[in-house]
Amino acid sequence: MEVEATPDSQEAEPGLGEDREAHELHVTIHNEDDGDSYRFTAGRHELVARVIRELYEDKLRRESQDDDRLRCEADGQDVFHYSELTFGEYLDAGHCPKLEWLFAGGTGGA
Amino acid sequence: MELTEVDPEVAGRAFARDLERTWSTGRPEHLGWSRTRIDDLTTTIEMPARLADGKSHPYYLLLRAAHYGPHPVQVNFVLPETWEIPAGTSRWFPRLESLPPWFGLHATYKFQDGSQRQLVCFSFNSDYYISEHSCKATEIWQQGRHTVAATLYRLYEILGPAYYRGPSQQLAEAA
Repeated sequence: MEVEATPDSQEAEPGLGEDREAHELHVTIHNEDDGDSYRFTAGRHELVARVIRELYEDKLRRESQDDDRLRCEADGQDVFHYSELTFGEYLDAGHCPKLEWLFAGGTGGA
Repeated sequence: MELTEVDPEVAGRAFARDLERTWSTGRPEHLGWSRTRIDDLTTTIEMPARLADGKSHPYYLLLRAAHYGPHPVQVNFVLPETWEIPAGTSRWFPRLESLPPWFGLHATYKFQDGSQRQLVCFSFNSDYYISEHSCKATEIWQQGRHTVAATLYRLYEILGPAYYRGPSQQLAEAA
């Protein structure tokens, strides 16, 4: 099953998480660089990396950078770290049950 | 570095458009932010800072968009109602600890022009670029890729339980 971004992704409702009846997962990503929100759909057997790839290819339209961050909205946990897990493994391990993530590119500071 | 001059009408339109775009997602209201328009180039944002024990305190950010578009907004912590800059010991100036390398906050900072004033030190504040700071190419403000949302969401993160330790002036003293 392909991971698909919903067409009207800027009006995504956050935190829909898992629809067990449909065996379909809804991932909401808030882009904290420009304020947009995107919604992706995936299956439990698919890799977290698939949605990350779709994020870069279809929404951000750029290569990933070392200082990019993708965090779970609820607890700030790094999502990139779990990219090789399937969504089923990711959720069963208790990570980010609402599947609401925050993207932020690099920021310069003090 | 000199900031690029921007036609006030152009800057004001872009600023209003990007604030509207950010608010249209519903997330700022969900997070407890509210905005007050002062004029086309100036808006204040009320934003809650959250302690680890669940308590929260409101703070006010003054956004000035005179150079917005090619540059980020200028942002400062301010007093409610008067929108003046608070002292570093004020109830309205946050106490922050264990900050990430991409953020600093100075109650008083000496700028290149000799003036001394508050500096919210990160690359999504226009003051960053006139205060002898530099950052990597991937961290520089990029028109189109970044909007005022980047400024606000980074500040909301900094005002969260990982870094926020309460007002600089304890509330009991302020009462």
